This record gives sequence, structure tokens and C-alpha cells, in this order.
Amino acid sequence: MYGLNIQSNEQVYIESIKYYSGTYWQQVEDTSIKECFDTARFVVFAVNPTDLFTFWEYDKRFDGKLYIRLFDVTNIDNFFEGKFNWYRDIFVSTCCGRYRINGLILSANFVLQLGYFIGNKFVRLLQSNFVKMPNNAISTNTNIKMATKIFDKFEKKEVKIEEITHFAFADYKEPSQASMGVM
Amino acid sequence: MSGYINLVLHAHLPFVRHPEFEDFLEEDWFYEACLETYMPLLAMFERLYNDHIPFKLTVSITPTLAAMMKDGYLMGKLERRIYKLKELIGKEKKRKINTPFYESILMYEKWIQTNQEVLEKYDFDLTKGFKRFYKSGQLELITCNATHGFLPFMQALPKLVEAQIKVGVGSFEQTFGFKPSGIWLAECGYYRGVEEVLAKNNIEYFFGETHSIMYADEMPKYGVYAPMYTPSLVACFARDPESSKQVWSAKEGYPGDFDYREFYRDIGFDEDYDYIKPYLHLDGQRRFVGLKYYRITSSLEDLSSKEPYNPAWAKNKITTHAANFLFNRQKQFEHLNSIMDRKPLINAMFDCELFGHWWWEGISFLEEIFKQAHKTKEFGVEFISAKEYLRKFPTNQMSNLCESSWGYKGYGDVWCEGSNEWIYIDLYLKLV
Repeated sequence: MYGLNIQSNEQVYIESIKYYSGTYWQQVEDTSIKECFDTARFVVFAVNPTDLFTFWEYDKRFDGKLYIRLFDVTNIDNFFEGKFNWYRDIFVSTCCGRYRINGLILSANFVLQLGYFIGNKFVRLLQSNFVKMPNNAISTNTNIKMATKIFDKFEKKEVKIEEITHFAFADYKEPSQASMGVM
Repeated sequence: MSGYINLVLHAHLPFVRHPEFEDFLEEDWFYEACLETYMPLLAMFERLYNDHIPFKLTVSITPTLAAMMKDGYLMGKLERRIYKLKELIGKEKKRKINTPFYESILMYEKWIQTNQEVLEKYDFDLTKGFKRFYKSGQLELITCNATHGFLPFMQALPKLVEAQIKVGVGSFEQTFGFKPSGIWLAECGYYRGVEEVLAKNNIEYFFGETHSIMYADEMPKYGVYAPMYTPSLVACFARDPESSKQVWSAKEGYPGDFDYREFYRDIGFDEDYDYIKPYLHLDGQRRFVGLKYYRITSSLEDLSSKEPYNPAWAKNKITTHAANFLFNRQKQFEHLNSIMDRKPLINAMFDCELFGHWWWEGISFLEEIFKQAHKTKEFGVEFISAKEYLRKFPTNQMSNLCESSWGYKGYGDVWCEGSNEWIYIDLYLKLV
């Protein structure tokens, strides 16, 4: 479902996407706070494991119909090269600068673009930061890591990490009401 | 069978200081919390210390609250409030002799006297009191992010998050004279990546909601009964839901007991207007003055049907509830010891102002827990701080934790709904 035609050979386009991404400004050194924060014009965050809240601001007056393009980028490292799992277009009114997107997938990663259509072509105005939806279940993955952080008497620390391929609870049971009884 | 309890109280109030007004409603929050929670807590530490009863708990004091606790103007107003209350209690003592309220008035007389002594002892700077018990080893003090902002919603502005943590740590050091080893993230609001900022500021641990660990990327080997390291090796201590609910819940928990004091029935509303007027604000509006003579009585919400408070009955209930709390922890330990290869740790985390302010008997409840745990070794309870635990048990599971908060539904719903979402829009688009 690679439906969006991101032309990865157009360097300017890629750079402009980076400019609006949440990661770009982290690479910027010695810039003023104002300059850094100016990139945060299309913001999204996860309110809970299934819902996003997003809001935006752009300078140019725009009277057309605005759309949010929601990209699923779970396990995608190269979104800027045009890779993603799927996307969905959501019509938003031009009068509001905020929107909630409900019923999404737990633990997934998303990035949003705000734009409009000329014919069938989506024209991007802004791109949001990346967002990861929270988990809401106990993981079934029992391959775990144990880390050791030792403090000496001068409170200097030393770290060791050990991987354990599997562990199991010994007859694990939820505490019963009886075990939580009163005196 | 035994285990550890890490008792954590989170103390926070927003910074409110209005010298341009004689009275200011929001300043009252601070005075009420001082008189009903912070100063009684310091008095409790003193009593336990003098009685050689070992106690250990962690208190997080936010930068805004610490700034108010040492502010000369606010503490001067607090002293005036104490004098006014003493005057009112003196009048009440004469008026209500031979009434069912007299025992309550004697209780308030002792309470206000103790508060005055605490204020004078610490030279009108409550942070000195907390620092004293930190130095004597019974109290662990930690900080909080600077303005108590909900960090998961600030994550797209990393510089803002960095500033929240850096100022939180810096102002704590300025107040208490040492660097905090731990932090309370406002509302237990955690998101992946905040630990990197914590590590940069030499924070060793923070406190999270239950599912910050339970819904980590790998199954938690010890559940919430041991901390979990984040990839930055900052440890997360997650809330034990069982112990929390017993104390926290107004309906199912101890604070809702019928013998405990009713919060909402106050003589500021009950007494003749002309009599109580000198103790109200200049605007003359009726308000709480802090003297409440009724007990909860029943689950009915009708305040007029409440019966007089009996301090002796409430004291008996405190003894029973403290024993029940420890008994239930003992039962938890029995169960957890059967499935864990180390001593379990219960993180019992509460808002500090629950004790004393919302739940009048709450400070006495804490005191009774320490007394009974010391006296009855069978409970198998040992109180420990997060820092001490990490030195005893330096090996812990490491995983990516789950974004979470201790608000309703466990994520960010409370802090981003129709009425308050404008905050973030202003924060991102207008303020910066």
C-alpha cells in the first residue's frame, strides 16, 4: 500500500520534510529557542493507546479543503525515503486548527501530513512529529535483559547487561480476594 | 515472609503569591496544606524520632511548593492565619462547652498549637524541617519537573522537557543543598525518551504508574514488585495498585469510614454570619475556615444529616485501619515470596495532601503504620527508599517502558480533553 508518490530524488522536497519533522531540530545546535520551536507547527501526541490529538498553525492563508494524511510508520526507518506501511486521508474543516483521530492501533507509530488536493495529487503543507501509540497489554515476550548498576562507596557506577532468553513465573496466580482479606 | 514498602508522598501546589491582595483564594490552598498536611507531617516525624521509632519514607517536593515553603511573605501570612485560628478556637472553646463538639475543639486547640511550634522551630521555612529529617536518614527527598507540566504532551518540544527537568533539579539543589537522586514526574507522566533527559541530569530513578512496567515491551519478570531499568539505566518504580486503592479510594478506602471527619461541613458555612465574618476574606463570602465538627456518618451526601465528630472513635479506627493495611501487605508478601526469587517491594504512592488535608486522620494513620510495623515484627514489613533498594538490588530487568500516567484511564485523557486542550495549543504555537 505504498500509495503516496513521494519523489525521493527531489532533494529539496526531502529537506523540507525534514525541516518540519520532530527530529530535525534536535540535530540543530546553537540555535535560539525561538528558532527551534518554530518548527513545531504541526504537533501530534497520543492521548491514550488508540487516540491522537493534533493541532497546527501555518502562516499562509488557505481557503481550500484541508486533509490530514495519516501514515503508519511502525517499524519503518526510512520514511523520508518514501517508505511507510499505509496511509489514510482524513478531511478536516479549514476553520479548525485541531483534530482528534480515534480508534487507531496500539503500539503503532504514526506521522501526519497536513495538506490539500489538486486533482488527485496531495500537496503537503506541514508535517508533524512522529508519535508512538502506548501499549495496553502485558507483553508475551519473555526474552528479557537484566542490567546491573553497581555503585561503589564513592557513588561511581558500573554497568553490566545480561540477556536471558526465557523466564517463567512459578505457578503465577493473580492474588485472590481471600488473600487480600481483612483482619 | 517479609518484604519492603517504599512509601512515597508527592507534595505539590502551584505557585500562588499575591501581595497585592489582602486575601487571595488560591493562596488559601497553600495555608490549608501547610496547616493540615506539611506541618503535621513534620510534627509526626519529630514524635517518631523522639520515640525512637524507625521510619522511612520519600517525599517529593515540587519546585513551586518549595519556593512557597520558604517565602517570607507567605509564611508571615501563614503565621497571621494561625493567630486568627487560635482566636477563633478560643472563642469556640467557651461557646461550645458541654456540647458534643467540645472534644473536637480541644483537638483543634492542640493542632494549632503544634503547628505554631513547628513554624517557629523551623524559622518560618518548612523546607528546613524536611531537610533535617533527610539528614537524619529517615526521609528521602526528591524533586519534580519544574512547573509540574505533563511531560508526555511536551515531548515534541524536547528543549522544554529538558528545561523542566533541569530547573527541577537545579532549584531542588538550591533549596536543599544536595542533588536529588530521584524525581517525581508530574502526574506520573512518562513517555519513552524522557529517561534520557533524566540520565543527563544524574537522576537515578523515577516513579511510574503500574502499567509503565506492566505493559513494557518485554514481560516484567517481577511485575511491579521490583523496579525496571529503562535503556538509559534510569530505574522506574511503579505503583502497587492494591495498597494504593486501600488508601486512595474515598469509597472503598479507609478515608471514607463513617467515623472519620467530614471535609465539607465547616463552621465557615454553619455559624452565624456576624460571628464568623471576621474569619472570612474581606469580600465577606462564606468559605471554609478549617474547623469541622462532624463525621462522615454515612454514605449519604446530605451534609445536614451528619453527626458530631468523635476524636476517640476516629483514633480507634486509625489503629484498626493501620493494622489492616499492614496485614494486607503481609498477605501480599506471602503471595509474592512464593513466586519471586527476591524480597518483594511494594511502592505505595500517594498525593501528600491526601493525608491531613483531605483525610484529616491521614497523618495519624501514617504514624500508626510506623508504630505498628515496629512493634509487630510478624507483619514482616521493612520500609525502604528507592535509592536504598537500588543499592541492595543493583540487578534489575531492563526494557522499554509504556507511556502512562496515574490519571483516570492511565494515559493522557485527563490532561487533554475538550476543556484543557487549549493549553498545549498555546504552549506549542503561541508561547514559544
